[in-house]
Amino acid sequence: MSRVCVAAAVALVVSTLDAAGQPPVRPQRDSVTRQIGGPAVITGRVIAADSGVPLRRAIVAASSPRGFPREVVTNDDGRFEMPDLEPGQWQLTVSRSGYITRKSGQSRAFGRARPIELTGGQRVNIDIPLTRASAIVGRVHDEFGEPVTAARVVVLRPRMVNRRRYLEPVGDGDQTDDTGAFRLHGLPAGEYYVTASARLAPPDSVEQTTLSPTYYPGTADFSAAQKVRVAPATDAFINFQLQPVRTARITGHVLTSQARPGDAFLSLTSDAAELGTPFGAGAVTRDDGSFTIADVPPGSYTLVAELRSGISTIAEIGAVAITINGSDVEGLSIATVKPGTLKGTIVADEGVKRRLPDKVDIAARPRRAGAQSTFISATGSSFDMPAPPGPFTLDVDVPEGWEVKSLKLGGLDAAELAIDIGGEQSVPVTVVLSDRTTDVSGTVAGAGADGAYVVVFPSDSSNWTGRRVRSAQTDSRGRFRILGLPPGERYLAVAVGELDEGQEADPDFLFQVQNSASAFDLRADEKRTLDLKVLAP
Amino acid sequence: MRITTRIVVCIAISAVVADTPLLGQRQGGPSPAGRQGGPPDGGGRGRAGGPQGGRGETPRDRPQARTGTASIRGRVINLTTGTPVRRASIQASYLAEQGRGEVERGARTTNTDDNGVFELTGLAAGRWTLRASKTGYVEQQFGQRSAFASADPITLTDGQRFAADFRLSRGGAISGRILDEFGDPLAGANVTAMRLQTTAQGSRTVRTGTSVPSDDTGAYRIYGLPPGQYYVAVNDPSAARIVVLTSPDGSSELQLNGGSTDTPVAAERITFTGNVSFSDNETRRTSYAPTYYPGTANITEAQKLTLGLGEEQSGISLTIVPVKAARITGKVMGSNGMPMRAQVNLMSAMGQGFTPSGGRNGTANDGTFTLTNIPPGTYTLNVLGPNIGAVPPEVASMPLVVNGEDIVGLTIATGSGASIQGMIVADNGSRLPTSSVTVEAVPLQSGSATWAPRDAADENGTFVLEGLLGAYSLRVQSLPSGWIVKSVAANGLDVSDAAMEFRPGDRVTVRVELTDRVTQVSGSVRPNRDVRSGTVVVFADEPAKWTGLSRFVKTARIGEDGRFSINGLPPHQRYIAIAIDYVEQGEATNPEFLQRAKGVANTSFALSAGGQQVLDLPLIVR
Repeated sequence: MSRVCVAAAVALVVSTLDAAGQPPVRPQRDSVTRQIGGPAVITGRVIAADSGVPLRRAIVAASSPRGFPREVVTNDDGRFEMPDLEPGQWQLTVSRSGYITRKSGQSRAFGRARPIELTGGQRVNIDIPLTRASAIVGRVHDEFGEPVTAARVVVLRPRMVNRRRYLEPVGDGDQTDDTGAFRLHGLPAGEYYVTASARLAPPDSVEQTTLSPTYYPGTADFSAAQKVRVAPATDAFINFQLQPVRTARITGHVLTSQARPGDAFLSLTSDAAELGTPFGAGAVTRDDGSFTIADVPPGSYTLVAELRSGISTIAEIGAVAITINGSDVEGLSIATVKPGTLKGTIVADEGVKRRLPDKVDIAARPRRAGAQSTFISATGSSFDMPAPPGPFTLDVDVPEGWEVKSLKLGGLDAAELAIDIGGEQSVPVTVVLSDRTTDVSGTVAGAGADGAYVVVFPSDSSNWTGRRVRSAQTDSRGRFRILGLPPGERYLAVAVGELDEGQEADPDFLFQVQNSASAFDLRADEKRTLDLKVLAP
Repeated sequence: MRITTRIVVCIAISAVVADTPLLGQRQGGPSPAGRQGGPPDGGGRGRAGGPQGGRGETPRDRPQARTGTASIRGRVINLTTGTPVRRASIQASYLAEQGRGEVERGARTTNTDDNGVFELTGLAAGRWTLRASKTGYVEQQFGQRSAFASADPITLTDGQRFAADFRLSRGGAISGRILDEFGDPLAGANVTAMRLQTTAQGSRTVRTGTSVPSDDTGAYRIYGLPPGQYYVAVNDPSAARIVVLTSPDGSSELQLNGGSTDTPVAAERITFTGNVSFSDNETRRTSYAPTYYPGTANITEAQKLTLGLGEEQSGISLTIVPVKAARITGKVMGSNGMPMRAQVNLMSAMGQGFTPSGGRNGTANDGTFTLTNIPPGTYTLNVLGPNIGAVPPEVASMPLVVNGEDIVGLTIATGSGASIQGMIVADNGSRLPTSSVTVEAVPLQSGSATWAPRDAADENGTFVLEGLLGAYSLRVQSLPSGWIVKSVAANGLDVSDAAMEFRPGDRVTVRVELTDRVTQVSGSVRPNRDVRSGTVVVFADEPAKWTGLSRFVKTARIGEDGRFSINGLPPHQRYIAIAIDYVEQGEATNPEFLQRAKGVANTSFALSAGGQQVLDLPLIVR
């Protein structure tokens, strides 16, 4: 019985202070007292990491797929109790103004969170130390030196999502007051980009000026942006000027494949959305199929028109790429067509004796930032799915023991390339599955080996794509396993104590660890065992 | 039935010549202050707007302004510095006639350029309102002489080139720090600047601008405020989830240290409260009442801040007052003895309303309701049953004093309320075409759970109003041309200037007497230097009549020809008249204002039934 409980507790335990100086969230192992079935309870105390002083009025939130979300507030002694929790996985989030919000399993800011596994009747008692937060404080002004009121100021940090680097907002941002002042608080120490923007022109203005998304220290060009370094528990001060830009108006009309005026929704998406400065605008067509989108700042955009038919189905769709440089775009014509279809076939590789897997998940992911992916779960040997407009990549997810040997779309290798098939076409997709997967497993030793992350990636940095870059977390004994790495490659493997979501696909990270990694070659079908040590942070 | 004189009945005649409340549609005046709902949202939150998100900005959804050949050109400068105000927003709204008044139909907007200059072309002939605004500045309507005054629309003719210069003043600001009872900064509290304004219900605080949140150091700054007197109020939105753990015996020291593991006994004795589940008997919740500067939960002890033009008051810091908030649970039973689904509304004496958290402002299907986080105070609990077909809804109303203790298990029985059998007659005995007349009972206490019945009179002038509970006034509308309400009597008592208070089961006979002997006060106003526009205020020289929407206080805008006209004042032995360059919203019935007006006025007259009075008034500039 206690074995079960200890395993549950392990999810939270990280045994050393980490680089950020934040002691781990650590349940008291011996606080696990009984298991009689029924609801579980989490009790605990929220304290200041530096002084150990209890923190009153901290908010402890718990969420789980097993029950409705809970939220409690600590009392004057910093204590909280969360009773009546359904057994299962519960993700705790602890926040308090002036401190860095912390999730269970996180031993550093932005680290991967891990839920607490609760068994029936279990009581878990946790001390949660919170680290004092930093802030970025400053003012923004316009080209006349006047404060910009009601500008939106946002803190950004790079993050990998779907193997692409995005600038992700940190915290809620702030809006400047009448002195142009802002205060972005609750930040962990680190380096951040700061961007500010103000949309000043009314929707159908004649004179169209606005203040473009501007990065500190005062540039609209992200490549010239500088990071703001924020020390622990201190305020960093910055001032910068917003860049005035002339906005443009886009007018045009939508024509359907039947050459009729389209009754369409239009959405304009900035291609810079991944840089944290999205500009989104929408419109609907008038009765004659015409539309107007006003006050568009300079930049590269994709304008998508979707015919309004059903609630969720898209009857027809059209997209155009537009670059705005301050002049109006007039008379734009968007032709909509029925979306293209992917006609898929799933076949077994030569020599496969087993039955094909029951379920294969396929996702078509547009390269365009902010666009919706389409998904399908194929249960037989064929599938039909709508293709998104514009270039997209295909992701195929297969059950353990299988690997995608090849993925061909209209004769092209869709495993690595982004493909645009256009509309109204039906394009064949061939997925070849093999059950002779490579198998890389092993044990991680050293402090923090349980729950450490193993990252495997090619030694040739030009191959740092797709399924060749993988990560796995170790179990409580430090063991890991990665199946289905494409063979015929020299790989590097490294174990790290912490890994952000998607960080294994970040080339900066891979360059940073490649010299500390162990190399190995992997042939087809090969089973390889590795012994790794957790890399010192 | 009880007759109360504290509030004056408002009767339709007031609508005939009332000031068109143009500004009333945009209550709160300056839109910019604060962080909620400002126009810019170009920040990093949320990826691009999808089709749904963008619909609000489409031309299809917005009424198109009419086009024509007139134009407006002007310049916006800073009132104090004389420098151009760049990127100010200019909005021209076309006024269309609707019923007795005008409504804004379609707007044209532009921004000022680097010299503060703007131009709007292609405007239709007609009446327009023109406004200039910029965040941090006090919004101004063209012709407006004070932030809260109403102003005349402008009239454009075909081909006209209208010149409209604005002098915008920077708004005032109030800043400070919010602390909790331990002296720690309170983050995320809502801080609001409120103005006192007179309404039909008497004086009320009116929120102006928007709330701003305090930051992690407790600091806040409210800006863009027009000059005036303000209260600063703090509300803690997280109050609902502030919970305190106590053991049943009240000792706060609990042995829950991580090391001493086997403390299940102590642990189980802890009572837990939160917004999810709590045990009724051992609950202690701390909440924060709305706290007013300098640190009181009682608005009568609040300190007024006087803010001059563009003035900044810093150091307006206050410590929020912790109070024990109560929870009220109950059940609504219909007159048939069965639980009933109903609207529930708890109204404080200051007009703050609370509704049950679940079930869309009402009870659950089984008639039960829970009101949480109710600060101490005096309340009225109103219940309004469903309105099915022609049957008036069942209603209930009960006074409730909340003092921090939970009120559990109230049973509220609804009933059919009071009813009015009414009759509309002419004072000269003539037969009137009454079938177009409508009568509405207007509840004097706002809130979602009060019933406002209305009825159309038949050709005999009779009408019926049912489901009444609490204080009401009568509104008589669509009168035959040339007729006004002379008096209203309830069970033989004159309530022309009184509220009627109804208890369950009251049956009240109301007699509405109309007259065609309509008084008229008209005349001309002599301009004062360059000022020609303004408002004429005529009021009875009797302070007891200076209440609410009194029939004895009326205002009229001075026309472009310098003339004015006020119809339908009741006869009185002494009226006072004054022409003034502006009157703020609700100011005309403010006794302080009328007392001052009486002091500077030098025109008085008597008015008999059907009497006419022609005046020649000098325009007084404030």
